[in-house]
Amino acid sequence: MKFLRHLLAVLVVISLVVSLGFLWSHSGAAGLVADGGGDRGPSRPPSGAAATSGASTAPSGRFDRRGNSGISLSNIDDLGQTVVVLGLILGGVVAIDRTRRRRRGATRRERLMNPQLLGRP
Amino acid sequence: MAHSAPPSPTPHALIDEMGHATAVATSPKRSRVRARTRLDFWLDLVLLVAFIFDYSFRFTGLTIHEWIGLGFGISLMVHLTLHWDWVLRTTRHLAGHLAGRERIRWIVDLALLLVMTLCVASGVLISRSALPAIGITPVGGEFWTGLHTTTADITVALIGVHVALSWRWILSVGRRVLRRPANRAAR
Repeated sequence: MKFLRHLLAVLVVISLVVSLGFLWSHSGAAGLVADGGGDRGPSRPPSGAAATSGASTAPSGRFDRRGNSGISLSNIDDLGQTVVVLGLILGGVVAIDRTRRRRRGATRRERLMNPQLLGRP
Repeated sequence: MAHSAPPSPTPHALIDEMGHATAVATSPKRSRVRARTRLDFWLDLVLLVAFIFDYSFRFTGLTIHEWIGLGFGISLMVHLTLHWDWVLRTTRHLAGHLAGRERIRWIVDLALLLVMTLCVASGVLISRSALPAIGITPVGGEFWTGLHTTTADITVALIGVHVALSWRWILSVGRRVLRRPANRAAR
């Protein structure tokens, strides 16, 4: 029951966010993220006359370089890139966290060794 | 997932900053990890691996990318539902006294919720393989395509931070979950 209640709350929040997305798509700020033919991400298939006549369009962008046939081992470098990027971010944050904890521990030890820092006579 | 360990005399559980419940091991018998902790660990791992594969678009191809994305969206809802208690508790304490680390985690998670929801939703709306295969025609459009790629890029960075902020929990639970049972190791 609790799970369902929480799931319902999550669905409400998600619906709100998606609604905001739709509002954004109709607002003047939609151009901020509109696809400008960049190198990443899916692009729509050719539409209209070009599509019906079967005219081929030159493949461009990251998305179009891949077919729909499934996993491509020749592009495993893409997977490697993702792992490296995530690993770098993760490692960076962990390193910062460890340094902060170490520094805090050192300060605490210093205070214990020197009671004057604690305001004791 | 079944947890058939005999009840320990002093059941004791820790709730970490993220709301992950972790059974405390004070003796070898009690070193078994609670079922809920196991579920959290494996679901989080599946989500991370799914995202890594999904983001590596050239490797997976369109069809696999879209089906992983749909599964990812559903798993994300389960993940959020399992941690909804933490969301409510931390949001309530936000105005009062809340440790800096917790505050950062809350901000990162809120941003992740917004960005990931938009990423999955826009992915559904520009689907060219999965949804048409089940007879649904998505709306598509330049805005949703751009939103999908932009939010995916932001999500990578935020996921890195999100995972890193729980690295102690991941290490401690991971060690116990992945460790072979003592009796099997002794054979």
